[in-house]
This record gives sequence, structure tokens and C-alpha cells, in this order.
Amino acid sequence: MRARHSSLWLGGALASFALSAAVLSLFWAPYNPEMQNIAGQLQAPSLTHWFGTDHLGRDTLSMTLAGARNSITVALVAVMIGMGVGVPLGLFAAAQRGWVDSLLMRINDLLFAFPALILAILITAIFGPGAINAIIAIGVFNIPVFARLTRGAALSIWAHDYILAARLSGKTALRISWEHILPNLAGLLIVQGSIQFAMGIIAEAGLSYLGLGAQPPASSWGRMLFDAQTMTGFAPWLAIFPGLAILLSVLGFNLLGDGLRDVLDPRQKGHRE
Amino acid sequence: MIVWFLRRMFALLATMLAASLFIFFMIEVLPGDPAHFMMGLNADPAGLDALREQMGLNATLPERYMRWVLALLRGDFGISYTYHVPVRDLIVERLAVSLPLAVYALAISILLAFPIAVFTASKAGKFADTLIMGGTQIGVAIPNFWLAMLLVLLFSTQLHWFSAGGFPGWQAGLLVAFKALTLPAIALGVPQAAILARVMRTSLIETMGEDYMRTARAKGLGQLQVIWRHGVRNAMIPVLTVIGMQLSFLLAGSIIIENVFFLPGLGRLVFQAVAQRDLVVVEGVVLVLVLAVVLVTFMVDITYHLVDPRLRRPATMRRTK
Repeated sequence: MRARHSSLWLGGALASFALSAAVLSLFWAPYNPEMQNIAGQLQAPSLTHWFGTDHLGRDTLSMTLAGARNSITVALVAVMIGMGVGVPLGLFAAAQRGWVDSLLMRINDLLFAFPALILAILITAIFGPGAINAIIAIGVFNIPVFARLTRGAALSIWAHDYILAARLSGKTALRISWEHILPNLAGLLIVQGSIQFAMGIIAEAGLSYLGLGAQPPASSWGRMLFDAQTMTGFAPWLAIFPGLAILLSVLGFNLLGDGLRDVLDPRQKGHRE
Repeated sequence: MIVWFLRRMFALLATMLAASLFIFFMIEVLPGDPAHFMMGLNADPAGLDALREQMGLNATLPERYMRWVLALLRGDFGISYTYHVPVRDLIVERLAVSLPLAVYALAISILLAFPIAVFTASKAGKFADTLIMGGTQIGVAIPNFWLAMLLVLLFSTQLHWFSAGGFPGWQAGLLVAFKALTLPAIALGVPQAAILARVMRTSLIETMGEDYMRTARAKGLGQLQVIWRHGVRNAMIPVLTVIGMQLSFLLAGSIIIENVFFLPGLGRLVFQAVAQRDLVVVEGVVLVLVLAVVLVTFMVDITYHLVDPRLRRPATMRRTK
């Protein structure tokens, strides 16, 4: 079992680790991540500061833990926005077909033509930088992903005999979508949710790096990397730990998505790309 | 084929029109009064009026949209509020960095991905395949701007092989300019190579189950030869899609890398324009980037038809295959 689902196990372990770090940071951190101590600035990793300290003397481990909370919150809410809007849209398009379907999918295509970062920059240009706007920007990008996926899968389910039976029994398209189509899509949506979650972590880090995400003094992995950029020559730990945190979290959720897909839909094994 | 082409052309124009409407709405309608937005809270009324006049904000929305589109068709993107030069000139100047960088990164992605995909597909399920595919998972997960920082740490700070940032301009010589773009292109290209290698490997493995591949093997060709001669071309459809998406991403998504390396590209221009609230520049650059994405998608569609003759056959014939 372990060997067969190595992606699931490894991904699950890494993702759980990232989630645990985020939850842990709510209750405990070695130091206050916002507390500055100029006298203790730029200390290399040691027993008192496992990940060292930054140019303001803040504890890098505490900041990394707080960054996990920020990254995971942004990615989670962005996935919920994408699912919350995209899935009903996809279900509606598949149920209605005809011009409603065409119109919704063309709007979808249009949103898809806007690269995620450009969409995020447009949104922050209008509404200003901040964690909330980063969530909206990443969430808006998730909408067409879930809408397209849901519509495609729902269309194939609509062709099944049991859906015909449900229609003959007088159920409305809305009720059929809710009672029969959506439960059949759950596995697919969980897999895609995991993948979008991983993308959300990278996107949040990128936006924060550009100064468009979470604002100081709040900690974020992207902001930590931005601050570290001019100091990597003499304090490489400042870049290494937040970068590793992003890499391992993204790797974890990507592998978890792969593993879940293999378990929930073995026919699609190896086809995610 | 001609009907298909005309239909695609119509869809392309419709998407461009819709994209222009969307951008106009986002930039000129959502902020309320763009002139007020750009000049900030302490703007003096005379300055505001002058900017409104310059931006043509006193007309109605449909009039403003039509005027904007007609000006765009003449190549007039407006005048930058902060640089005081035509936005078109700024875009052309910055494209001279962003476009070669995107193409360079794409070349790295393709050159790395193809041999990896062919090798792993030929060893599918074996230890080497598992190991390399594990490596590509890391490549997919690595944030490109972190990779960029690690590259600078190794090749600039430690080894002094490359400069840590900046662009000397093409007038400094091709080699010098390309050297300045090398680390940014690697940082952009390596994660894309990991994605492309995974897609291509999957596509190749699917193709290898086809009858014509068995025939080629039966003729006595070796595994690698079979993949090179017969597999690669047949596996190209999903690969082309990803290459097209990567080119779009590299054109529009290099904003962060341009900031890491202080490159005067389009991404850095739009980023600075956001900080300076120069909406005219934001509007122009975003439009150019989105049109580039739409055009690349269109070209990928055309390339499908050139690469795969099966797609040129009528649908009824494809079904009876």
C-alpha cells in the first residue's frame, strides 16, 4: 500500500507538516515574529535561533511559521473562491447547454487569456496591495480553472442513463446537478483543489515578493525572500529557509494531488499533465 | 481548412475586442475617476482638470472607449503620466529585453525537456525514470524567483561568473547582452522544463502503445530510435499546447524575475507603473501582454493543423479511423 501510493504518503506528510506549522503558529512560536532586536541582528543558525535572525534581529524560524499561516490562509481562501464560484458556473453551463453554456465558456476563455500575475497586478493596481486583494486576485484566477473542469466532467455525467432516469422522474436540472452530478465530481474537485492550493502558495509568495501581498509587519515567505535578496552573500539562511518552506509545501500539495488522483480515479494515473 | 481558419480568425478578433473592453473597464471605470486616482488625494483642481483633458475623461464612456480603440489601431497608446513619453515607445524599448528573455528561457525549457522526456519514456517504470521524474516534481514546485536568488548566490556572489543583475543593452554587444540574460533565463526556464518534460513523457508513453510504434519496433529499430523517429512528432499536440502556454507565461510572468535581476523589461515597467499609479502605462502594457497571449494561443492552434495531418481531415473521417 505504502509503495503503491508513495506520492499520496509523501505529499500527505509534507502537506500535513505545512498545515501543522500554520496551525502551530496560531498558538506558539519560539519568539514573537514581529519583535525586533537590532543587537542580535543577522545571527547564523544556532541552538537559540534555529533558522538564525534577520537584519532587524527577528527570529527567522518564528517568521517562517507565521509565513506558513499567511500562505496557507491565502491559498485556502483563494481555492474556496475558485470552487465557490467556478463549480456552480460549470454545473450551470453543463445543465443549460446552448447559448448560456457558450457565453459562460467564452467569458471563461477571456479570463484565461489574462496571465495570473497580470490579473493580480490589475487588481492590486485598482484596489491597492494587501493580503485580502492577493486572495481575490488568486481566487479570480481559480474561477475559470474550476468552471472549465466542472463543466467538462458534468457534461459527460449528464449523458449517463441514471441522469436520464432522474430527468424522467421530474427532477429539475438544478436538483439533478446538486444531487447527482456534484457528488460524482467530488474526487476530481478535491484533486484539482490540491493542485490549485499549491499554485496559490507560489502565487502568494510571488505577490508578496513584489510587495503586492501581505504588508509588513505581517510575515510572509515572499516578503522574507525580498528582504533577504540583498543579504544572501553574507546571510544565506535568510533566503534558504523561507524558500525551502515554499518548495516543500508546494511539493507536498502537488504530490498529494497526484496521489489522490491515483486513488480516486486510477484511470487517470499519470495523466495530470 | 479555410472555413476553420476564418472561424478561428473571427474568434481571435472577438477575444481581442472582449479583452480590450475588460481592460478598459478595469482601468478606466472601476477606479472611479482615473485622474483623481493617479494624482492622489492631495491633487490640485487645476492639475486634475488638465489631466482629465489630456486623458479625454470628459467624454462619455462609450466615446472614450471608441477613441481609445481607434487610437490603439493607429499605434497610439497615450502618453505616460510619469515618464512623459509615448507609452508605445516605452513598450517597444522594454520588449527588446522581455521578448528575447522569454525566447531564451523557452529555448532552455525545450532543450532540457526533450532529452529528459525521451530518456524517461524509454525507461518508463524503471529506477532512472522514477528518480528523474522525482527531480522534475521538485522542478515544478520550485519558485522561479527563489531559484534566481540561489543562482545569483552561486554564480555571481561565489563564482563571479555572471553579474548579479542589470542589463547593459544590446548596443554593448550580443554576447554581453545574452550573458546578462543567462541567469534570468535559466531561472525562468528550468521550472518550465520540468513541466514540459512531464507532459512530453506522458504523451510519449501514450504514443508508444500505438500500432505504428509496434511496427517500427518490429522493423528492428531500437527503443530510442523508435521514439525519436515516430514517437516525438505524434506526441507533439499536448506538448505544443504546453509550449504555447509557456511562451505566454514567460512573456507575461517574468515580472518577478525582472525585478530580481533589475532588468528593464515589460514586467518591471508595469510593476513600476502600478506603484506610480500610471494607469495609462498599466493599460497599454497589460493590453499588449494579453494580446500576445491570445495571439500565441491562435498560433498554437494553427501549428496543430500543420503538425498533425489527422486534424486537417473532416470530422466524419476522423471518427471512422
